Amino acid sequence: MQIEQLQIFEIDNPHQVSSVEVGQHFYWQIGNLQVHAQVLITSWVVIALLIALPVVATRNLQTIPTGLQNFIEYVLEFIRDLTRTQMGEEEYRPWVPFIGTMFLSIFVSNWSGALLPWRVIQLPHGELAAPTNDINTTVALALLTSVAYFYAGLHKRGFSYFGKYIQPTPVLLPINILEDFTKPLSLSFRLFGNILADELVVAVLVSLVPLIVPVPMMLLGLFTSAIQALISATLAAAYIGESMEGHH
Amino acid sequence: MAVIPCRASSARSSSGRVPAIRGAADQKVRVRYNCAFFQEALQNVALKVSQNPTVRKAAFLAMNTLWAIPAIAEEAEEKGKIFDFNLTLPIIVAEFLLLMLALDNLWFKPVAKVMDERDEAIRQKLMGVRDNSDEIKKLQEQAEAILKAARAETTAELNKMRRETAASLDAKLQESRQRVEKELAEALANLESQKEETLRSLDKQVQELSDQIVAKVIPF
Repeated sequence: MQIEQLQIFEIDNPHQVSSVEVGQHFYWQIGNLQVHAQVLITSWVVIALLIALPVVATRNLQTIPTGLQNFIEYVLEFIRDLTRTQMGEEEYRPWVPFIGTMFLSIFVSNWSGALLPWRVIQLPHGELAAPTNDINTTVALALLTSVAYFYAGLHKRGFSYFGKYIQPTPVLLPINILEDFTKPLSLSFRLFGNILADELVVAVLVSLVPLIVPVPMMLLGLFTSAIQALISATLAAAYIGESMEGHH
Repeated sequence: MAVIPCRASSARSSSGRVPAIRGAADQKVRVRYNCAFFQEALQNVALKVSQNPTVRKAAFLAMNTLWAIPAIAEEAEEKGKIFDFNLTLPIIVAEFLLLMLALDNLWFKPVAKVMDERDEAIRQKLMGVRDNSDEIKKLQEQAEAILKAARAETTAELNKMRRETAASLDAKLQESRQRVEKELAEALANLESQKEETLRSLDKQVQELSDQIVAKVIPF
């Protein structure tokens, strides 16, 4: 968001006194379609970070781990545990990459948006920030989760998967169908709202009192964005597990 | 005082109500009519307001804000939206899937392999440890058996030794007792003979003594 520096004698209109503009994008034109270039650029940085880490850490894998290998083993153990808790012991293995990528990409996106000094790079229009502050990213992830749990259910149970819509009682059929729309909606908006709102609050606080006051809010932002990554991954795993399990 | 710009010039329309004229010029005239009417009403309000200073300031502020609104609307449309869906969405989907493949091959698979191999090695070692304990038990039993045998042997030996020494001791004891008895008997015999001898000599001496005594006592 652009925050204008305003001198008091320059005020022409009241709306100039507090204006934080949201929704500014740096557009690139591909064919006759547009993209939000700031989202793509920051997502490329996130991908670069996420690929550099294991490449460096798996150079010399040993039976007794030290340092970086310890860390990446811990992360994998954490992701496996998360997936196993939601999906059960027998079927969690194939889904670890999906849930792991979901968790890691959201986590690194959010923390890179909060910690890296993006403002150093000036864009002609709009600015660089966390890629998850854009509705396209979060809806993309939510749609991927939707497709994943549909695929999981159909792959495991075939067309009897659609029996789950009338599962406890057929009266709940409309609610179950509605759930297929509200799940991705809530997933996307939860993440989008959290990240964008945090950026907005920090931007406003920094424009008012740049020194110490924004810091607790920034720390809270780090904490909540990490929690959001965990929640997104856990819910994705829960939906996939729920669609794979049999009748109760 | 702010004035709403009307299409018609203010001079002509402020002169009063213009009667409606039918035809092509209808719309234009109606605009002028409405515009003029509102302008007049506003001017009346303005007159009333300008007499009260605080109300005047408030009205000033309100009018300026009112002016600002069209400007804001234009800028919002120009600068972009929050809910702006475009090609970015499928590009992010593609990036996510490629990232998933990359992470799976670079991170999850190799690290999982190392972790699983380590678990397997630990399990093997644990199994090995359990086998060793059986062997140890067998060896312990063997050791105990050997010990028992050795103990039995030594006690047997000991008993035999004891019996032998006791026998030889007995024999020696018997022998020495016999010797002692023999010597004792000899010594006793000796003593007896000596006693006899002394008794006999004593007898003789006693006889002599008694003769002397008699001789001394009885004078001739």
